[in-house]
Amino acid sequence: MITATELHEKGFHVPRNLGELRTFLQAAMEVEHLTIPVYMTGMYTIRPGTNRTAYFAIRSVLMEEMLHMTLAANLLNAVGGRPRVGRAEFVGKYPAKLPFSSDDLPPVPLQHFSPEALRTFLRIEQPRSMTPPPQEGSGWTSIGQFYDALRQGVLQIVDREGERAVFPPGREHLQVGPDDFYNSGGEVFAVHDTKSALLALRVISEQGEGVSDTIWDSNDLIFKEERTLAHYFRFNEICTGRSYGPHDRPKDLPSGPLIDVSWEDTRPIHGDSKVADYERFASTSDVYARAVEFNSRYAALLTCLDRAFNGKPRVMALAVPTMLELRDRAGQLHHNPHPDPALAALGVFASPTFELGRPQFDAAAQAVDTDIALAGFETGEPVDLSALTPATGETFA
Amino acid sequence: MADPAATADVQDFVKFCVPLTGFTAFDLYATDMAGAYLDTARRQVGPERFDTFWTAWKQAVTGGGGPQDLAPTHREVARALVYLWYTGAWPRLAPAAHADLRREQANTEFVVAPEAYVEGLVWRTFHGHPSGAKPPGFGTWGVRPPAPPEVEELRAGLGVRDVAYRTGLDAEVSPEDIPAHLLPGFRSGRHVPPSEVPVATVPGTIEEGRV
Amino acid sequence: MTEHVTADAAARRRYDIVIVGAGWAGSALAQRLGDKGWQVLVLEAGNGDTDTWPGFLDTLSTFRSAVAKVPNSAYRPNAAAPSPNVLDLAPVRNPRPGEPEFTAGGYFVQNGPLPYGTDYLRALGGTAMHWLGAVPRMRDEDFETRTRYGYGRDWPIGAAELQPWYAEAERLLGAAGHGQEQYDLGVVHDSRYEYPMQEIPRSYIDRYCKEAVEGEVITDPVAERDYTLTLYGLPQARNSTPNPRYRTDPPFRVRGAVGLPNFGERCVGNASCVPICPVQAKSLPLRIQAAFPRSVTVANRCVVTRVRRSGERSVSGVEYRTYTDPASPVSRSYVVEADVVVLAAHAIENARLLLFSELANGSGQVGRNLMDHPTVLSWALGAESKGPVGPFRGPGHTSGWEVFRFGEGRRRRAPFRIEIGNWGWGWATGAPMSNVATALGIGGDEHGEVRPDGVFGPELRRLLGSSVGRQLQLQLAVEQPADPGNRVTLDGRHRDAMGNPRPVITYDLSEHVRDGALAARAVAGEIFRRMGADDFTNHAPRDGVPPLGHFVHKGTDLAYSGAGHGAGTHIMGSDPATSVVDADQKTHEFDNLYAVGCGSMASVGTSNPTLTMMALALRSAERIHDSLATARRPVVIRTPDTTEATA
Repeated sequence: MITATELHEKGFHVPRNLGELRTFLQAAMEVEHLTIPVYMTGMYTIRPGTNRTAYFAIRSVLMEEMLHMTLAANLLNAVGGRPRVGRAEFVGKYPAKLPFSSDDLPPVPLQHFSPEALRTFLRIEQPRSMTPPPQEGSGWTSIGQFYDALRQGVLQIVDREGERAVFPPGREHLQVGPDDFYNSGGEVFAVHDTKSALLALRVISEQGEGVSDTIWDSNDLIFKEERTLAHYFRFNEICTGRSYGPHDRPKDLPSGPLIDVSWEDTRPIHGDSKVADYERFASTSDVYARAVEFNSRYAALLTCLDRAFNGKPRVMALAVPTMLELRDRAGQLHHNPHPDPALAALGVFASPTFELGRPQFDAAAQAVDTDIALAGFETGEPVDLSALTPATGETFA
Repeated sequence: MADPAATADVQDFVKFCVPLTGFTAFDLYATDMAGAYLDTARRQVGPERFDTFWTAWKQAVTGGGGPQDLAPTHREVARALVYLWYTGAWPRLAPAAHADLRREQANTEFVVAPEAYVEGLVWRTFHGHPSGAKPPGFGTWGVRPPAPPEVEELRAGLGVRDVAYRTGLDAEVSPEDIPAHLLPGFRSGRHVPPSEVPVATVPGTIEEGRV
Repeated sequence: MTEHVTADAAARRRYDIVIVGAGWAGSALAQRLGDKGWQVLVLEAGNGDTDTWPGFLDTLSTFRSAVAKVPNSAYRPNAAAPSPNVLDLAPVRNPRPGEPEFTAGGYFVQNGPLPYGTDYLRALGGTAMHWLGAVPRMRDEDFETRTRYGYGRDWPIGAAELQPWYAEAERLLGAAGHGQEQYDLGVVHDSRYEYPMQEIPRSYIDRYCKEAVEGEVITDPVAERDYTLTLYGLPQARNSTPNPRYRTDPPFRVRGAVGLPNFGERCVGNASCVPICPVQAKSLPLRIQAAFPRSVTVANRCVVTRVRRSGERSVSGVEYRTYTDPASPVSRSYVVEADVVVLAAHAIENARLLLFSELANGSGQVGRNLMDHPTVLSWALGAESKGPVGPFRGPGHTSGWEVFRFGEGRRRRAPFRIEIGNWGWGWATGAPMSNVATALGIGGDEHGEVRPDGVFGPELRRLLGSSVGRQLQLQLAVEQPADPGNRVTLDGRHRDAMGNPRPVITYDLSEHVRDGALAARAVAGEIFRRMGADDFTNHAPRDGVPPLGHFVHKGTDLAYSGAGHGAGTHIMGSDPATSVVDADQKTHEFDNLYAVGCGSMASVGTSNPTLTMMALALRSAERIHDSLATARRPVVIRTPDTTEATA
C-alpha cells in the first residue's frame, strides 16, 4: 500500500511533528504521481491529429503534476526527509482509491479519452470551495484540503521548533531547480525556508484548484508567466465543450466560445486490462511483450526521478527522454487491437497497465545507476549523454 | 454495436504486409494508419486491380514464395505499398505499371496525411525518428546508435519464411558492398520528389572533385 | 500575446518610427525603441497566424503533408505578398553551351548566368520562422578582406566595435555556446566570455568525425596550403540549459513557445529546425514580439509599396496596401507618417522598396552586391565496420571544421566553412525517403519499364539500416564577396498579383568564389578518404540534366545550393559615392531613413549572418533613439545662469 493510502485511512489531521510532516510530503508525491497514468491514458488515447485543444490541455496538467511532484520532493528534502520514488510501494494499483478525497468517491480507473474520463479528472482536481469543510478526525474531502493541512503543519511545527530545526542547512545540493526541470507552467525552485516551503505548497494548490475562489492559477503572480486556468477548469472546458470567459466564476459553467471536442476520435480501451490478461494471447499478439516492456521502462522513469530527488538533479536529463520514449510506447499500444479477440471485436484497443513490482524496480535500478555512472550528471555541468549506449533498438539510449 | 478495433479486411491487410515490410503486425498496427493505407492503395490502384494484386501476393506468401513471384506490374504495386508504409506517401509508379493499371490518377507522389508522414517506418530502420515528430529528448543525438539487426534476426522476430525478399538480385545485399543503384543520387533540384530521385553513381567512376 | 491592428487602424495616427518588416531585425528594433517610449508601428506584409497555437499547428501539418520538405514548405503560399521558393527553379535538359542551365518561375525573375537559389519568407516572424538557429560571430579579418587579402569590401566598422553588440544579440536571441572555444577560434575577444546557455550537445556524428580525423593535415590544392583539422562546436540560438556562469544581473531566463503557455522550453531533438521547430525551442522573433511594450503597434497584411519623400534629406512615411484574401489580392492603399522610417524587410525586399521609391540611390549601389553563401554539398557512406553514425537526429548541425575560413588562403580562393551535417543525405538526395524508393527499385527504368532489382521486407529493413544509418554529409559554405554585378533590379513588365514589381535577379559566381568551391569540394573528398568513407558525391549532369547550380570549373563539375543568406543590397560604407548606408545603417542621403538587415553587410565572411545582423540592428536602435531624442530637445531660448557663468 502506498503511504498516501495509509495516511488517508487515519482520517483528517494536521501533521504534528517533523516525522509526520515528512510522511505527509512522501504521500503528497504519491498523490501527484497517482494522477499521471490516469492523465497519460486519457491523452495518448486521443487519435493523433484530432482533439488538439483537449490534448494540449491534458498535457499541460500532466506536466504540472510532475512539477508538483518535484516541488514536493524539494520540500521533503528541505525538511530533512528522503523522497522514495523508485520502489513498488510508490505506485498505486488501478483502479485506485484517490487518497484524501471523500470515501464516497469511486476508485479512479484508467480510461480512454471520453466524457467519463473527463469527469474522473474533474473529481481528482475538485477545488476545496466545492467540497464541505473538513472536521478534525473525520474523513478527508479533497486534495486541496490535504495541502492546506500540510501548510498548517509547516507553520505550526516551525512555530514550535524554529525554522532552522525544520529546514536544516547543508541540503541545498538535493534541490531540483529550473535548470533541470522545464516545460510546464510555473517553475521549479529550491525550498530552503518557511517562505519557499509555503510558496511551493501555494503553487501546487493554486495550479490545481485556482486562486482563492477564482478559475485562474497564479502563474502570472508568482512566475510572471501568462495566467492560465487552474486544472479543474481546464478539464471542465473539455468536458463541457466550451471555454471559460474572462469573468466566469468557479461556480459558473463556461460562457466563452465553443471548443471542438470529438469524443469519437479516441481509442477505446479496457482500463482494467492486466499484463496477465495479455499473456494469455502472447502467441498471437506482441501486446503482451510490449506491455511488459512499457512497465519496465516506466519503472526506469521513476528510478530516474528517485535519483534526481536524491542528490543528482541533473538525472532529470535522463528522465525526460525516458518519458518521451514512454509517450511513443503508449501510443503504439493504444493503436493495437486488444489481444483478446472478443474485446477487439467490440472495438477495444490495448493499453499500458502500469503494474510495477519489485522485479521491475530492481532491474531498473541497475540499468539507471549504470547510466548515471557513465554520464556523470554532475550538478552545473552541461548535459552530455554521449557515454550511453542503447540497450535495444527501441530505447533512446 | 461498436466497430471492431480492426476489421477483417484490415487484419488481413496487416497480416500480409508483415513479410512485405519486414515489420511485425504490432508495429504496423502501432502506426494507426493500416486502414488509411488500405483505402489509399485501393483508390490508387483501383479496387478490382488491387484485389487481383492482393490475391496474387497472398498466394505467393502462402505458397512459400516472395516478391519474385509477382508479375512486373504487381511487383510495382508491392513496392508502392512498402513505400507507403515506410514514408506515409504514395510514390510515382513506373510509367509502364501506371499504364498497365489504367490508373485515372496523376502519377505523382503525395503524402497521404500529416499523421502518415509521422508514422513512416523508414526512420525506425536506422534507430531514428521522423524529422519534426516523436522527438527523443535533449542531447539524445549524442548517443551512439546500435547496429541494425541482421536479416536472420529480423526473420525470426517476424516469424516469416526463409525466402528471398528481393527481386532481380542473386544474393542478399551485403552491407559492406551496397550497389550504387540501390542508393539515391544527387537531385537536380529540391522539386524532385523522393520517389523520382535518380540512383547513385558508383564512387570514383567520375572525375569530379579532383584538381 | 502581441496585439495586431488592422491596416485602417494603423493609418489613423502618426508614429515616431515606422518599421517595415516583422522579422528578426524589425522586431528587435521595435522592442528596443518601444521600450524607450517611442511610438512604433511595425508593418508586416505577410500573414500573422503563426503566433497563435492553431496557426502554428497548421504550419506543422503543412510541413508534414509536403512532398518536398523545403524551407518554405511549412508556410502557405501568399499571392499578395509572395515569397521566393527554392522550388521555383528547374534545370534545363541538354542546355546549350554558354546558356543558363536553369529556368526560374515564381516570385523572382532571374536573368543571370547562374541561379540565385536562396529563398526567404514574407510572414510574421519573417525568414527566421525557418532559420536553422546558427549564430557564429564573424572574425576581425572578415570585416577587412580588401585591406588584408585584396578582395571584397571593407566595413566602416570592425569586430571590436561590435563585440558588446554581439553579446547583447546573443542574450536577446538566447544563444547556447562554448565561450572559451569561440575565444580560441578568435571570434570572441573576451577570454572569459560566457554564453547565456550551455552549449547544445554535439551529435554522435560530430564525435565520429572527430575521432576519425582530428589533427589530420589536409592540403588545400587551390590555396596550396596545409590545414590541420580541429573540430569546433557551433553556437546556436536554441534552448539548452541556462549557463550558471553567465552574468546574473539580470539573470537569463529560458523562453518557451509563443501561442501556447508553458510549452517548449528546451530542444528535444525534433531534427526539423528548418523548416519548423515543433516546440519552438529554436529562437523566433515571435518571442520578442510577445514582449512588445504597449507603445509598439503591429499590423499584418500591410504590403509597403513606397517610401514617401518629403524634403531634400527627409522622408515622411510610407504607403502601403492591404488585402484580405491572400489568394486574390484586391487591395486598398494607405499612407502612414512617421519621423523615422526603418526598412527591415529582407535584403532583397529593402532594395526593391528603395528602387521602387527611387530613393537613396545616388551611389547607384542599391540592389547591387547581392551575396549569399553558395553551398557545395558532399556526401558519403561511412564504413560498415565502424557502424551507423546516427543521421537525422538533433539540430541540423552542431560542429564544423573552421580552419579553411581564415588566413592567407583567402588571397587565392574564397574561404569556406565545413558544416558537419546531422541530417544524412537529406539535402543532397532527399534521403531517407529516396533511399526507400531506390532500394525498392520503384519508379521504373529509363524506358519507364518496371525495374527488376529491388529488396523488400526484412532485407529492405536491413539494407536501410546501413544505407541510411551510415550517411555523412558535409555542407561547404563558401564566402561570396560584394560584387556589384550581382544585383536586384526592377522591370515594370514583371509584377506580382498586387501590382508590385518583382525582383529581377542577376547572379553569378566570381572566379574567386569558384576557386573556393573547388577547394572545398577537394578538401571534403580528402576528409572522406581519410575517414574511410565511400564518397558518393557527384555533381555532373545525369542523362543530360545538370543539377541546379551546376558549373564546370577547371575541368571539374561542381554545383552549389543557396544558403538562404541574402545580403549586401544596400551596402554599408563611409563614402556616399560608393555605398548606400553608413555604419549606423542610415541612408547617406536621408537623415531619417534607415535600411537595416543583412543588406547593409559589406561582407558576410563564412558566418551565418543573423547574429551580425542583430548586433547591427541593436546598435542602430541606440543610434535612432539618440537622433530622435536630440531632435526632440527644446531649443534653449534663455539661459541666464549659463550666460552668467560663462561671462
